[in-house]
Amino acid sequence: MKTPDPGTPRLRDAMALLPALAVFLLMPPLVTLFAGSHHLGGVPLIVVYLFGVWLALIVAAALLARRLARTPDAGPAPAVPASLQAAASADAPPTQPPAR
Amino acid sequence: MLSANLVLVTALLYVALLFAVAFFGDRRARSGRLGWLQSPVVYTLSISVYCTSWTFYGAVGSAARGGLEFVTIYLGPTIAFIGWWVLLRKIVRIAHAQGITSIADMVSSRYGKSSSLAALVTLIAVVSVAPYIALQLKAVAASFQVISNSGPDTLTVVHDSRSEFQAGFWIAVGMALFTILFGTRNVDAKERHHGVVAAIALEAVVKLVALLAVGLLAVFGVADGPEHVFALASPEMLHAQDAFGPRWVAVTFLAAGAVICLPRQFQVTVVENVEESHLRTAAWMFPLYLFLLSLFVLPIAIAGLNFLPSDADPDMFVLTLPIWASRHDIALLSFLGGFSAATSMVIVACIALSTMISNHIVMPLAMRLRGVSQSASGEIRRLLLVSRRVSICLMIALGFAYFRLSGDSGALASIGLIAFTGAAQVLPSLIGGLFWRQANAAGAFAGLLAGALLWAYTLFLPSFGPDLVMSPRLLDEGPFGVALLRPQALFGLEGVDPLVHAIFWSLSINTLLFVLVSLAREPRPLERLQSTLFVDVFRTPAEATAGLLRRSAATRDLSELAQRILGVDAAQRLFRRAARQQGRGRDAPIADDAFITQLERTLAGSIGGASAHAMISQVVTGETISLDALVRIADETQRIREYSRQLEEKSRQLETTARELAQANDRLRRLDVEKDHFLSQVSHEVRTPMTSIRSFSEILLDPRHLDAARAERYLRIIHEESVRLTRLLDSTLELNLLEHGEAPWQLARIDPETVLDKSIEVCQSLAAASGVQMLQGERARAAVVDAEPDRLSQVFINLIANAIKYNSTPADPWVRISSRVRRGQYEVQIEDNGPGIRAEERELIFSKFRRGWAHTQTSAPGAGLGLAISWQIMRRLGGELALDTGSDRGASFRVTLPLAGPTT
Repeated sequence: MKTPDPGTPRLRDAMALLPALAVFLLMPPLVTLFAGSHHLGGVPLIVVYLFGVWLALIVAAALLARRLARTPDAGPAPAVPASLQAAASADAPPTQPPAR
Repeated sequence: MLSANLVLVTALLYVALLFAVAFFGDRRARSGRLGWLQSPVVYTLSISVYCTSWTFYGAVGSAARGGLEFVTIYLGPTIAFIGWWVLLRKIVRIAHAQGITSIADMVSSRYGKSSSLAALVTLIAVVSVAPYIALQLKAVAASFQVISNSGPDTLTVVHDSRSEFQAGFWIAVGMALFTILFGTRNVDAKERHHGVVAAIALEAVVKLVALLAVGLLAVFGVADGPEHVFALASPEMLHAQDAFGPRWVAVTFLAAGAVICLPRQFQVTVVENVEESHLRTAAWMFPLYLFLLSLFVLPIAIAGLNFLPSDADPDMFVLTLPIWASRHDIALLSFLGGFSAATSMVIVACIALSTMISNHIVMPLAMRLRGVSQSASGEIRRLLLVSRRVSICLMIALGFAYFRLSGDSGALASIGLIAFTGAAQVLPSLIGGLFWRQANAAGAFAGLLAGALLWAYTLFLPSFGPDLVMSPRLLDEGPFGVALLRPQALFGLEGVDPLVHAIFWSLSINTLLFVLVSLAREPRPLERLQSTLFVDVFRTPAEATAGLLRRSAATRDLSELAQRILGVDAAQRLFRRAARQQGRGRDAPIADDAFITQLERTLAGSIGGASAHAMISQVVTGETISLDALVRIADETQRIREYSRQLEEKSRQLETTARELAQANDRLRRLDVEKDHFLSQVSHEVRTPMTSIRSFSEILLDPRHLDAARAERYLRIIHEESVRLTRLLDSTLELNLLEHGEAPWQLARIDPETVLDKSIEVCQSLAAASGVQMLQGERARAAVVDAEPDRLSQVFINLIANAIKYNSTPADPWVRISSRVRRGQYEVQIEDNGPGIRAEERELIFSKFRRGWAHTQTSAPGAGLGLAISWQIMRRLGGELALDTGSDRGASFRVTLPLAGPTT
């Protein structure tokens, strides 16, 4: 029996919340913290920050998408609750008939 | 310096290559060998049609003028794509389920297949995209001029309008030809344009490679590495604090909306999508493409500003920088990159718009003319193809006209964001329609219309410059001198960037009207049905909605209709397949609800949802929508949740029952073993006296050598043994009665101390005979319990006698009896200093035939039922008999009885 990965709901939530994180990181007021005249290895800090966050978001999206691809069903939640499936498979029948 | 001929030949060769790729891609697709054409990488590359020449050339120009702001154009789509799970996935799923052909079709299908809504969205798209096409033509023409410029200073563009228009004209003709050839081969938009997608993917690669090459040249060829480049940058370019103001937020939001709503983006992302799983790859690969594309924009801009003459056009740095550095190969590549960016945008935009125009404007108009609805088979098909080809030419001609009209005014430079804002007007209706059930056509229409008008008034028309459409006076003082209506300071909102001003007013009024009108008006049944299909696309199974739309039609009429639109062959194939599915062999299929719905969906793939519904409606009768069923399906979520809750409840119950059953089973098995044990014990206990009775009676039966004294002794033994046997059987019977119940005992209120005293007295003689000392412990002396005195005495005597009998301690054996009242309980404790009871025996000490002292080897008589009987008696009296576990030497039994209550 196909048992759903218990991590899938968390994975879905993470996928849905990633753009919110992106908005938080890339929009003011947070982004203005890096707009000073500092440099990092000769490159202005704000450039390093924007492109760094950008790349990190891409990597995060790629990792999440890859993990999601490995879960058996990326569609909607199964109608049968996981607990019932587990119960159906784990409950062994009585090993012996009751002794007379 | 490159010769014009060389550039021209290269461009023509490149165009020939594109034609070849499109041709072979199409041929492969036709023969069914899709292979790499269907790969997620090609899909992702085709989405990069987002990057037009406006971004290829314009991003550097924007960076040179406004620093980091150009990034927002790419951050918006990045956010939209990494959030694919929320929005794009749903759109793609719906588009697959409903056979959606364009963004206008999407919006109109959602709102009850409204044809007026589809026409409105089409109109907005045409108006906003035509100048965008002009921008592409201009970019290609200008880049051609720059790269083949033979003037005195090659780096500052001397606009020769005449030759620019000429070049633009031929480019327009070429693009129209390509688009017609590969974009309108078939009518069914669902069949997708594999050839075009392949060519677009190739162009996407060229774009990226070209820009990366120019970027590497700027960083390592022109400057000495990134550090040097950024050292050259002017401080105000990168450290402007006000860069991250409202405009930053607005443009990011706008770009995120545009990457979904622009007709060409909807075409490549949603309509051309072959498999939903491709979106998973595009979710990160497309942002990565954008990332790589923007990586070198800043360095190119900085290098251009520092090394090129000050009057060089920043929008052409991508081209002029390699020329300045005398790298003509890279300049040519860059030209091809810009050319690719422009052509791919024009081609895809024209395909998308021509589909929209033919489906949502030409078809509804044609259907009003009686001639079309009764025309011969295949005519609608021809009409569609012709109208698509004409609209492609029309769109490109319109673009060329804009290009011609606007001339050198520079008005085109900002058209990218203006087009974005126009396309974004669809956003409230689109997203509202995906997640909000109550959203309806009237709301969407009102919002879209108001948003589009405001967009035109505040942004689009003013962009043509002060002379063309709006006079400077109107801009400064408002129409008829009404200052509140100034296009760029509407309702007195002054001091805001014109773009932010337009985005704010158009989108907020759009959303407001959309919501308010939706709330004010009840949706029509078809709108409700479609809203359920869209909002609940992940929850509602297709078959659940199949029977909602009830209508009937003559199969002949349907067949005629299908032939007119799809052509004879395709229509016959469709009907034969349906007949097979219905199990009717070679007969015509029955025109049931499911078949009509399927046919309508197929037609929608050709002519759009609204027109397909209108056409079907002409031949069907009695169209009704079951509202009850609709409401039921709308409650689907609730139902599934309820169902799963019930299942979980049931499974919990099942688990509990299973556990209880397992416990009962265990208990039964233990009891069974106990019963077997009991039977064998009884047999054993009965057998011993029986054996002696038998042998002595055998002796007595042979009277030869038997004197009277002996005979009497034997008879006495027989008597004793039978008494013992009777006692054993009595005990067994008693225990049985105790265990299985009998008439309730008459409990009396008694003083247990008296009973205890009597019992001790009875046992005194036994103690004396065994040499065991009876010790009196502490006594309660004042206690009243409800009990049966004889039974209680039986328990005490049994316990005391056991303690005496089995006390085999050689020196000074004793038994101590004490009692007390504790926590509402009367307690009697009987201890001895005998050998005690082994740990392993303790649990079973109260079972039948268990003599806890079996190991003591005493030959004391007893059936082994005493403790079992005592335990049962105490249980029935409501008290308890327990073995204290604390003592290490000797045994200690404790009898507990609840004290009698104050009344009764």
